[in-house]
Amino acid sequence: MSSELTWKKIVKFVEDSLNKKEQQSVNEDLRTILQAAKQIVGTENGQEAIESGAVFLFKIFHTKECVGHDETKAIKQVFGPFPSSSATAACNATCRIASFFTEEQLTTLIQKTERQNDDKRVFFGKNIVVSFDMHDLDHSEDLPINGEAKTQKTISLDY
Amino acid sequence: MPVLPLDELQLTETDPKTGKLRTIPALHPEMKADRSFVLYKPPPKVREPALVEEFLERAKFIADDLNWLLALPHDKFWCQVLFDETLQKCLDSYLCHAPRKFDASLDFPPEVNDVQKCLHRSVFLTFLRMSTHKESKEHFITPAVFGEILYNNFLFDIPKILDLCVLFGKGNGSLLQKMIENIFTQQSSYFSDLNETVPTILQVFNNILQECGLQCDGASATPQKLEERVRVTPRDMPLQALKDIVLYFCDTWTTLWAFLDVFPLACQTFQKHDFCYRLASFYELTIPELESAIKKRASEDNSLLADLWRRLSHSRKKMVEVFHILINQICLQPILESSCENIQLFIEEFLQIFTSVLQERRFLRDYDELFPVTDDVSLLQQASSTLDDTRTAYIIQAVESAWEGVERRKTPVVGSLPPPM
Repeated sequence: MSSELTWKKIVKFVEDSLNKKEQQSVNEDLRTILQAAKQIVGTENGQEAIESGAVFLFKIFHTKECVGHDETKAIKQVFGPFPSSSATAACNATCRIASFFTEEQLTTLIQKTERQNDDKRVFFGKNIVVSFDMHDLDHSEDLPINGEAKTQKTISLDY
Repeated sequence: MPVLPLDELQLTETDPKTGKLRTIPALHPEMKADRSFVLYKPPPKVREPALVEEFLERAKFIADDLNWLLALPHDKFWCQVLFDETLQKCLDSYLCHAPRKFDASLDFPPEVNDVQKCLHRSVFLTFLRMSTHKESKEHFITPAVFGEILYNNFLFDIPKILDLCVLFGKGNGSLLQKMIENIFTQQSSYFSDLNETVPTILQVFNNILQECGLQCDGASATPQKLEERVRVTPRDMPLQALKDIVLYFCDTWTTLWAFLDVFPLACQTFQKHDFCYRLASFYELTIPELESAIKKRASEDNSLLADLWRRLSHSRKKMVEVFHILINQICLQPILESSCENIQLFIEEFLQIFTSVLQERRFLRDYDELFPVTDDVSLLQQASSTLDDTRTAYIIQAVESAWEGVERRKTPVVGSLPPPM
């Protein structure tokens, strides 16, 4: 499942790591990835879905040079049929962006956000109050010491 | 990104063996973490430091593992639940062996109580999560698939549900009700299973009758053959055997009551097997016999006898309450809620059930004491103008007749507080 790596985090990572000239070139590629995501995801799901799609493309292409069988299958599984030209454009753009960074930097970007995501895990039921109370024996009358005189039916000898 | 249910979700990840990207279902055995859940054992009955230490270590281990499980993301949690057999065995062991308050003295050292509380909470939350098909807008399982997953993987079954009710029903009734209703709603096979379980419960009644030498089938009507083993009744059986029967009795009725209290929708299924009549008849045969057997042993272990008496009184109350839950769910509640044209069916059911138990005089008295039959009949009279007065009068008369020669108590027997010592 996709981590909480967001499109904004990728953009910030690029801004923080590169000089202005490099940034201009990379911004163009970021726009290309976003555009490809729009084609693949569709506009009806809104900007948030498009950005999530762009993150997905970035993650699967950041170590690839071309769109292989596995990548095609992965995109299809998540989004259904898609234009291959968009996948190719996203792959090329991601490849160009990746060339500005070392493998370690990219891995750190992805793993760091995944780790942060782990840290933010919500404990299921954290706010649920669970009672420790349990069914107990009901109160009842004590054991009669001398038999059952009161509850026993009186026997009539009057035939 | 479009949000898919967990059962349709595919994950793309790097294959650790080949280094290539691969796509696998989110619910896949390979996604299960390596974790070995240990079996639960109850706290030691004696305060032996080594045994207490052993219990604490084991219980903490389980509690930590369950807390780890509860902190897992939705997909990982379900992979663990589905593919980790040790987890299911661990949960089962807790349901079977966790001390019931009515079953044993819970006079444990404070540290044992503390860890037991943590564990109790974690187990409940685990079952709660397992019975939830929609955790959030993004994290959910297709309801129909969820029902299949629960059933096919034996995550819940009727005995487990009974145990859950008796362990958690007291303070967590409303949550537990939602859980169980959701399980039965998403998987109707649980109703079929319940339907198949009721004969087993009725068999438990027969077993008790047999143990008490009170077998009520046709066989008991035939004279005993000379070479046959003499039937042992509760009055002359060893005290230990009597104790076993009463404990079993108490456990059975408390569990059944806890289940029906939490999930009254099960009542219809119970009544398909004529449960009300069977209950009343079983009550009539066993309760006086067991009471008498306890009273007549005054010279034996008095504290044990007092404890058995208390359990039997408790069981009596639970049996009467179970009958009332059934009557209420099957007849009274629908009468209160129904439109005029349906009311007759429920009234007829009420009249039939009561007519069938009229010969069980002791049961009738005890039921009437706790839930006056005249109140219910009065409800029927208010609900229907065409009520057959002859039949209701017959029932009321039979109840009155059951009281003949017996002093009515001012306060309900089974609900009364014990007199001051």
